[in-house]
Amino acid sequence: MDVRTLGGRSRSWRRRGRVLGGLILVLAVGVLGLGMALGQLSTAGEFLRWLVAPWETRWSREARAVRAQVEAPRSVEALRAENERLRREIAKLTIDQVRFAEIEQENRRLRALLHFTEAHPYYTVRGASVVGEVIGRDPSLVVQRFILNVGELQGIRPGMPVVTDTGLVGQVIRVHKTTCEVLPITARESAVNAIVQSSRLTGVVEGQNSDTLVMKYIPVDRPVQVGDLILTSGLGSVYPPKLVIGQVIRVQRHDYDMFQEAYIRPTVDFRRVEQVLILTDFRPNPELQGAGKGTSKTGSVEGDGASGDAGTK
Amino acid sequence: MRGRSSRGVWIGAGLLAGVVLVILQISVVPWLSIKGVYPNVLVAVTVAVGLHFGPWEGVGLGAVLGALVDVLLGHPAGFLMVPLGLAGYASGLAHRRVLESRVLVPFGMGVVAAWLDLLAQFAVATMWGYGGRWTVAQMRWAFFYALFTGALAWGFFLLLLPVHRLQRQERLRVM
Repeated sequence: MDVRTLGGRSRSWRRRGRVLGGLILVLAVGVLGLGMALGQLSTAGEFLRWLVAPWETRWSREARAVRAQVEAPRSVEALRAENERLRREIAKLTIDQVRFAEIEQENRRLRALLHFTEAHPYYTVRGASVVGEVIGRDPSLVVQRFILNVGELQGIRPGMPVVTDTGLVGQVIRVHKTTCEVLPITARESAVNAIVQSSRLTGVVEGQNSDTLVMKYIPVDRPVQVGDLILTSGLGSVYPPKLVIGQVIRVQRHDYDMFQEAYIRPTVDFRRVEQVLILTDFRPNPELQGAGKGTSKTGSVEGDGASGDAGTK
Repeated sequence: MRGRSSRGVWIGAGLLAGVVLVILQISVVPWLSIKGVYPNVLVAVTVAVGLHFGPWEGVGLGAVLGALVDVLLGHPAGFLMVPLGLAGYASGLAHRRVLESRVLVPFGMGVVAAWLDLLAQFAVATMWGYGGRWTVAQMRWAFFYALFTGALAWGFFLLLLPVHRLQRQERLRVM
């Protein structure tokens, strides 16, 4: 065959490849536009999710086992066990510290307000919970989600708070038959009404898609100290009150500002979350939930699970 | 007739491999992170395929993998499909230069595609109303993420070399 013909063929093949590639790209952008108009491909996704969930569970367990093997050489096994014991102890002491400080504060308040009765019985958490296992994470940097191996069949509903023994993880935002998706408090769309434990100053803790959170809209009446513990306030009824969120690591305050900001390190290590508790008995205030729907910035992305005034921005 | 059924088998096998890759990315790779940073297998494979076989194959694979994740995780349609398609297209454009350096081109293209994917995701997210500023920690994360993905793209590129050679031989024999 003539060399020129060969060259010509390969050039036309390349040109055709580029044109086809460009066409697919245009098509993809078209799908994006269509998606914006029609919402998500929920039915196909539901089926695919049901299909792959068992594999996700199995493979993520295998991967965790591999990770554990790599991280723990036999020669330092004892050190690891000791480290683990100390970690648990620190976590337990932190929780105890929070609990004692809360009891002390509560005692003081109750002495002052002897006839005070709780106006919102919905906030009661009766301890019922479902243990979920993290079986996946969203590969996108922009969207942060955990996938748990429990869903509608286990009684999970959108809006349920998710915690670990060390603190608040986030909120269930979408539920499938056997899996559910959790919006962690570190996600940019997340916002939690919070309180500084020592000074009782309130604010809103927002995620930044990174390891730190920022607490905004804190009045400047009293200073926030580095090391202060931040808890959920229960306002807005999206999360129950008194769940530990994290500890203040930096405070930003200017004389001309009406509010101060505090940067928070969460007590939960989000890189290593493996098992979580879903509080199934928490009853969000239905009125506030309804009122909050209009403020959801993410709209169709979050679906109905994103309701609540401070659940999602 | 036989050609058509074998094409069907290839498409089926490709889709199955795509689903396996997606599950790997969602459920396995996050557990194998180093200091919280883990690569994007989907971008790496897309880059390797694009470099070996051209923009059409690159964009096709990227778009299919992205669409699978979008459907599986309930993203808005096209949220990862467009960024991954773009990454595949960009790496396909470097197809002709691939044999100039078998280390630098795949690695560099992997890094570029990882960034391109991130920027496109960010742009799409902003279109959907949940973008925002990037923090320093995120930039640092993205830097190492891109290097990690580039290294993985190079690995996949080497894995696909024998297939590339076979395909070239086949094409020459046909001509």
